[in-house]
Amino acid sequence: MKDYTCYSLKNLIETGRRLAKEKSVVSFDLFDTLLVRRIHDPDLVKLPVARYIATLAEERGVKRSATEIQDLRDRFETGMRAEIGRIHTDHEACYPVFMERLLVEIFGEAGGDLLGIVTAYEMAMENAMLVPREELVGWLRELSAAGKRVFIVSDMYLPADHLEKLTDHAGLSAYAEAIVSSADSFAAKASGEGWKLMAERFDIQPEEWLHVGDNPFSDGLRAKEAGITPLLIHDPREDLRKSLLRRYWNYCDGKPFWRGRLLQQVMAPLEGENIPREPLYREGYNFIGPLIGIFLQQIREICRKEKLSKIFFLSREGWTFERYWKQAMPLIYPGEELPEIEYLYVSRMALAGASCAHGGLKKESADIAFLPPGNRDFTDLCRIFSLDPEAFKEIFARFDLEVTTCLSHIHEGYQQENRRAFERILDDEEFQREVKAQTADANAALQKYLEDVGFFSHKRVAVVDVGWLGSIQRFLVDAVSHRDDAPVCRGLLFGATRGIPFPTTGKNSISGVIYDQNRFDFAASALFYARDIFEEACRAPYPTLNGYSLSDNEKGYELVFRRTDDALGMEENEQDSYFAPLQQGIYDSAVRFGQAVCLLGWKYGDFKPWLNYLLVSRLAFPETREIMLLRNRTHLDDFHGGKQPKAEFLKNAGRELWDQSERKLRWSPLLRLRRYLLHLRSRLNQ
Amino acid sequence: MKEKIQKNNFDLAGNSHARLIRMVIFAKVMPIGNIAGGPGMRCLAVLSVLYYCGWPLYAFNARYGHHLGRMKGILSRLKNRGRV
Repeated sequence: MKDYTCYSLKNLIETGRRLAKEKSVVSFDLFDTLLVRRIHDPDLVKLPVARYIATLAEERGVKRSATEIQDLRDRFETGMRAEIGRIHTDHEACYPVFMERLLVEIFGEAGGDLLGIVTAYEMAMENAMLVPREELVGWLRELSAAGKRVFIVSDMYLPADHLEKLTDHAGLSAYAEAIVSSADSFAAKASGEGWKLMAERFDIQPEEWLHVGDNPFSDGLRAKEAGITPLLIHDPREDLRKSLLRRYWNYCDGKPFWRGRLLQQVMAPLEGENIPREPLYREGYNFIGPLIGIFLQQIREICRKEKLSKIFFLSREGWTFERYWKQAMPLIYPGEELPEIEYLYVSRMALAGASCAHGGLKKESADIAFLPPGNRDFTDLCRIFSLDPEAFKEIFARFDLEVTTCLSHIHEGYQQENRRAFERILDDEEFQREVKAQTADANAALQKYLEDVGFFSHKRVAVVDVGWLGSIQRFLVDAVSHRDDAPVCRGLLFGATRGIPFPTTGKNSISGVIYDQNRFDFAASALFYARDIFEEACRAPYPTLNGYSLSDNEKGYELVFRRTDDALGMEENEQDSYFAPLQQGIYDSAVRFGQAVCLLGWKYGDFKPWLNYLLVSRLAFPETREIMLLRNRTHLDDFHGGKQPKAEFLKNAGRELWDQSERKLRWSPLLRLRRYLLHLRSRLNQ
Repeated sequence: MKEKIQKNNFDLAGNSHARLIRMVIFAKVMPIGNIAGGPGMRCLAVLSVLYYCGWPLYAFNARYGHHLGRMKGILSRLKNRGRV
């Protein structure tokens, strides 16, 4: 009988179609034939299972490390294989049997529930790592439709009913007459006993039987000895893929830099998943998605360490963080109790006014309001803090000021004594009384909203935002600090640039996770190049929140969103549509990120070197097309006023790398290097 | 233009191996931050061979690798002696 070995799937299927014409039965090996793994070593799936069992054990007061559990598992499996080998030709094992022994050893008893729970988890992990080979599955469907008897056969410690969970997930079960596993009969393909048993059990004549597999011995030689026609696949592309994975895995031991790269390799789509995608989708999947995943994983670790029982995701960026969390974190931390999460409809504009109702308008809040170059005078503050400037005219007149007097040093007409006079106004009781009166309703509505979402039900909460000064948290805490039940707010920002000192107290603090100015991290400071990208990439597809108002409805409050029918609103909608593929890429990466991190068992510190490389490479040295793709067109921010500052303060505007024209980006010599040197200097001087 | 996330040579779109090599060379003369010692030149070299010449090498190995048993044995002995 001729040996048929094919070196590509295309060739295999062509040959198989030709051979199958004269056969009534076609069987397929399962692993590395119909299904391939995202990782090079199937045993790697056992590690997260060991960690899961360790978590379950800890909950029940049993202290066993994952390494111990894995060693025990290996021992029980090897022991079973030796036992079986004394009676049968093949040294096979059966998963439920040795797992039960393992669980009894650890917990003192197994109980059907425990074995079922662990089995379900292991099958979920296996499914996460297995990908059907689309072309082969297509051929399998053809064979089934043509009336051939199709079997799936594997030498594996998982019995057939367990393998069915895998084939169900891959969409193969419907096309196969039966799934056959050596774990049920302890007769494997490797000794040839498996073939004999199958022929008897299913009444198959070997001369009518074609078997497709990858192992030259079990699927090739032994099948041929049994009179079956073997068709083997030896795919050099699969060899290459596994070789790359194996090398990354080995390099990770001595060179932590590669851990992030391996994460991205394991996350990458395979086979039928790996279809051509739009450039923005790829950016979301390969760049921003993993950044967000690593950020959220670190947040989980901080919450665990500091016993924060609830996480509030703030503002429009928090929408993306919350969605990503929901998909990724349960996969990374199975069996563990995660903090509750809630998305909070807040924004700087919405909170600014409400924050003044009890403490009044503070100097720091006014300083924040004058940060954007377009804000010039008290009318800009009124816009931000939802105040009516008319009511303050008399008060200002007492201090020889007008509500339109320039108070920002970067605008024409600024005089320092006017600013000092304004600071005296901030100490004026009548002024603060008026501020509090005007913002009381907004604050009352905010309190009702926060009570509704359980903000006051927890003693210690995390508030998560993209960054950058922590203004939202500042305003939020100001708005609720008068309450005894206000929780301790632990602010966790994607990047904390700390342009204005944050009023850190025991009940209110912020820190940057990816970047924090208080912690010298030069690579992560690359975020300064293009902060807007992260805001635009993560922004929720709904209009910005403008405020809170009391209402006669059931809840007693309503959220006031910005209108979308004006020119800016429509531009924003257009921008949302433009960035939709980027967001889709981010969301699609979440599950893969969770599965990959769960498998690898690594944390923020392990991924940081690669993350640093990514930030410098993608933000400080981006390709021109990447900048043109990701650069935001409309960054709507009602916090920013529209007044023009003095020309000398605008000279640096638009000179950042990500603001340059396409012509300059392509043709200006050493532009990126020059910008990088300036950035390096500014970080060192800071 | 649409492109796969994982290219045909298993490199990642946007985070290519070539880009990494350029950045590593740059990092030899200019600080880029903490990359935990970096990727290592030997690792980069091996991965470069795999990414850019891998398919023909593995295709050859798949078809004719079993004829190269003697040569593989020699290479293995040399490697163990630390010469390769």
